[in-house]
Amino acid sequence: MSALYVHVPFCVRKCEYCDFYSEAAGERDIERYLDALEREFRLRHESLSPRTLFIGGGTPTRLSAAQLTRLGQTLRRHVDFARLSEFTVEINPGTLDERKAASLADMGVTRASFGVQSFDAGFLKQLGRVYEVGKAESAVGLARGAGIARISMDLMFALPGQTLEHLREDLRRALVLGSEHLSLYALTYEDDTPLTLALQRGEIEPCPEELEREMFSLAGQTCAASGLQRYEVSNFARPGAECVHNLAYWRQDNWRGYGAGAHGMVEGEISENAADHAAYARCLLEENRLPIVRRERLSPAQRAETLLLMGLRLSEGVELAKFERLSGSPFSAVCVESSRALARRGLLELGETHVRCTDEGLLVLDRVILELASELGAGVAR
Amino acid sequence: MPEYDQSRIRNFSIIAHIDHGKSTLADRLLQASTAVDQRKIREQTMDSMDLERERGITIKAKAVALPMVVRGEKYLFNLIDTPGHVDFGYEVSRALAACEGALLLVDTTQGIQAQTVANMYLAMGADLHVIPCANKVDMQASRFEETVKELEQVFGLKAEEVIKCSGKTGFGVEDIIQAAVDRIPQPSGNPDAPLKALIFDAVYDDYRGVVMYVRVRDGFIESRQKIALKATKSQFEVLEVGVVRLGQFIKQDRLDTGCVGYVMCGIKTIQDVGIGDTITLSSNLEQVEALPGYKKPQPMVYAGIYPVNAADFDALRKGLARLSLSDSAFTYAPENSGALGTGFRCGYLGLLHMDIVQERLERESGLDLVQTAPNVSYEVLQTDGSVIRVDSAADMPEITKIQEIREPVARLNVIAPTDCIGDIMKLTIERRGIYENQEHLGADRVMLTYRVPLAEIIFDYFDRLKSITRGYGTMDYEIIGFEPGDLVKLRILVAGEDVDALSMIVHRQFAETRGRKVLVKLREEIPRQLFVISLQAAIGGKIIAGEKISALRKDVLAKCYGGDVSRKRKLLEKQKRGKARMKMIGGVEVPQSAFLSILQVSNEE
Ligand SMILES: Nc1nc2c(ncn2[C@@H]2O[C@H](COP(=O)(O)OP(=O)(O)OP(=O)(O)O)[C@@H](O)[C@H]2O)c(=O)[nH]1
Ligand code: SF4
Ligand SMILES: [Mg+2]
Repeated sequence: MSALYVHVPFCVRKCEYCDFYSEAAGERDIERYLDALEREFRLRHESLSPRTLFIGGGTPTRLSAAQLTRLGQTLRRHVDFARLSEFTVEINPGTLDERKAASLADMGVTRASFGVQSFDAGFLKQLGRVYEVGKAESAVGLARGAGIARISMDLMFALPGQTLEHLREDLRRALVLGSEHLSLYALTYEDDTPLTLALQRGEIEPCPEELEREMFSLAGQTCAASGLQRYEVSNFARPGAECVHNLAYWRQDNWRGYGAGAHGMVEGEISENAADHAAYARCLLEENRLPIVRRERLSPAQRAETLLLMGLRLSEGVELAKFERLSGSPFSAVCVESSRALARRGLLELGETHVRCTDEGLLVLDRVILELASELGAGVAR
Repeated sequence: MPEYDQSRIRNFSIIAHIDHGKSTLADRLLQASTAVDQRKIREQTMDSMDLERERGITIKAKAVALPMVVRGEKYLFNLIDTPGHVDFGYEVSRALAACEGALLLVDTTQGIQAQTVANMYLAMGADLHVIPCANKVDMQASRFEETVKELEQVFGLKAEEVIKCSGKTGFGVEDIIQAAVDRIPQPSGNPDAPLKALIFDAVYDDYRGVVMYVRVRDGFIESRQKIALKATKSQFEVLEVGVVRLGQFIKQDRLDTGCVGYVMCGIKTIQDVGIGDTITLSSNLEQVEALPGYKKPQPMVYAGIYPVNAADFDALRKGLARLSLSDSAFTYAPENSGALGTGFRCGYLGLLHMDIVQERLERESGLDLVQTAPNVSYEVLQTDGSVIRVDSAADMPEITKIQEIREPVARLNVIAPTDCIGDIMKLTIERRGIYENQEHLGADRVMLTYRVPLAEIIFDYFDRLKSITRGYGTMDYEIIGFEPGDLVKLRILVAGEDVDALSMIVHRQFAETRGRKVLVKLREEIPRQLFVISLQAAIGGKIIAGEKISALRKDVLAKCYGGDVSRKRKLLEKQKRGKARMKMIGGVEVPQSAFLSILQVSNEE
């Protein structure tokens, strides 16, 4: 088992664009949640000796320093840290203080992933993020000061009203802070979020498609100039500083997930926990059983399809040998027509060991996947 | 001895524009009749009523027998129902041919409307005695005097002939009944001559087979008679004859000269019975002359119907077969479309008929269907001198083989407020209409008559008329024949490939505008794809218009981590299903809505 994910489903408040499960909760809820997490580890009783550990949210740093320490103790009790080479925590810059930074370092965190989103006060407000400008810089300073050396930042682009100039400035400020890793996400309008409702009411203008493409390229060029390479649709890193944990998802290696709403996938078997933290805790603490709401065993064809839809996000692409191992047929045999047509259009490259998207292909990846998956599906149905 | 002497029988229809009160007045007449001798009618109908209830059948009566007592004398009124709409003009004319008279009902709040005129002309064509009735006089908005003036002016009727009435309050109904007795001629016909009867309607019923509605012209018809139909020469034995009263079939010993009623012979398909055909005795099929006016129904409007799932083809065929059991005017034949696969080309009498059939088909079969835009039927004179019927643009011969294309032309009557004349003129002339006549109906309304190619009428003319006349305009048309036109086949190419289901026959003058607009519409309907899509309109080999659909530029999920996989897979499944429903044309995915969208494209700039 290579990757272990732990979920913390609490936030200070909900951001305007977010449809991810998260909610404002009281101290009692958090304590109870930590109890439940401890119980989940105990009930599952898996021998865990991961290479990577990732605490995500929500907002893990919504927890107090003491609560973080408790979480760390739970992990130490149930997880063997011997082989661990990467331990990431997601941090909302507005919620970090010196004590929390120290707790995180004590837990063994090696990598801090900051949800900065923007350095501009106006856009932060538009996104509903809860901290003042300047907080990002000081939070990075706190993490570094506590001894967490590896720094990653999330930024968003294609925001309503954003210009190339705005993006350039955000990138500059992120790179100046010495990040070895950046995640640059195009804003997505998820159903029923306040931001989407504002869009539907005509209160905001979406970013024009061509501008979004220019931003996508600008991000690539600016990062490259600072030595960070695009290794996934939205992720850039100095060579060697890629997020190994996330690579497990994209390469469809095994991972396990703990906590409310967490998913795991081990040898093609997916399991999913109850998303609601109260239901999750009730199930574990009162009923003393696992809060699994879904289990699904993927067929070889489904595993192959999932490998494509995750793996083609990577610049390295999908390993052909792996595809064949999962699906039982060589890629070139099951996606003959579609891969040929996509290659002809300059969207896909079929190499010796990997099939990968070109930069142009990454921009329309969802369509590329649809083309390949349709032929794959038709082949299986036949 | 017949129950009613010929002198005591009155056969008539009620004719009116839609909603002018036909059904309401018919109910009034029914009440007047049942008041006569309710107990007797009950006794007569009890048995068959139970049978009806058990089987849950409802009879759609085409002719109702109404016993009446007028001035102390017993009469039999036979009220014959007509379909009313122009699409069924032939059926209406046959129903009227079974009558001696007609009540022309006009809603006095609206005055004469297009279908009032059309139906009146049919009644006059059938030599009927017409009793004009000015209806709905109970209403505040009633304009009785104006309506009477219109009747005088448009039909040359006399003011004294007009009966003032209200189907709702019953006012004037007694006058109508008396007028029916006094003014409508008794049926003529020779009781001693050999049987001759007109089939004026036929309906199919799962239990009884085909029920024919007939009017006996000469002689009589009774059960166990051997009869024959003139047009088809097919022979049957009569199983049952009778009349319909109070919504029940009432069996009788025989139907005498002048009578109207039903005949059942256990016939299994409605196609075996031609509406307008003549019934004779088998023994003298040759000697008896057919009644005039018989025609085979000829569809004028055609459209393709395709199952969304190719696997439903057989189910669709069954559904169509079932429908055609009860509708002899509707035709269907398998057809192959490069774009849509295998389906059927269906023929209809007109657009209303098409809507009725398509709705029934979807409801009764429960299938997902794609319907292509309708077109009219063409006559093509080929260079070798032969004339063929072409029901689909895809079947049009090559240009070099065509000497002349002829299209159905209709006489169109429009009635509308006078201040709309300019707009109606403009609309109709844009639709290649040729002005024929204009007649004022009082101070503020006008009736305009044009000759217009049917193709231009079926193409949203009515909707446009309604909108330019603020809803007041009414229209009606009758096909007057085929006429040569400067018509061309407009081909539509998607990514360089001919799309047969999108090609259409248009007038050369409009070909370019039409072509351009179709392409604009297609550009809206076809989603962007990974490459630029060229759209072209062409006549023969000549491209007359072009459009492009730009390539998709950005479509990628920004975030996709472990917990997003399931959601993304679900989305992909949905996208795959959507993609599978698309029709592939020249490597381009075309949604089915595109095939109907061209119907919304007009000639106008
Ligand atoms: N006030 C008033 N309303 C009437 C009268 N006759 C009919 N109506 C109303 O007018 C509407 C149409 O009447 P119908 O009898 O259904 O007309 P129709 O000609 O059979 O209509 P279609 O079968 O649809 O062509 C109904 O709402 C009737 O209630 C009348 O004399 N006075
Ligand atoms: S902090 Fe993250 S998870 Fe919480 S509401 Fe904001 S975007 Fe959503
Ligand atoms: Mg009616």
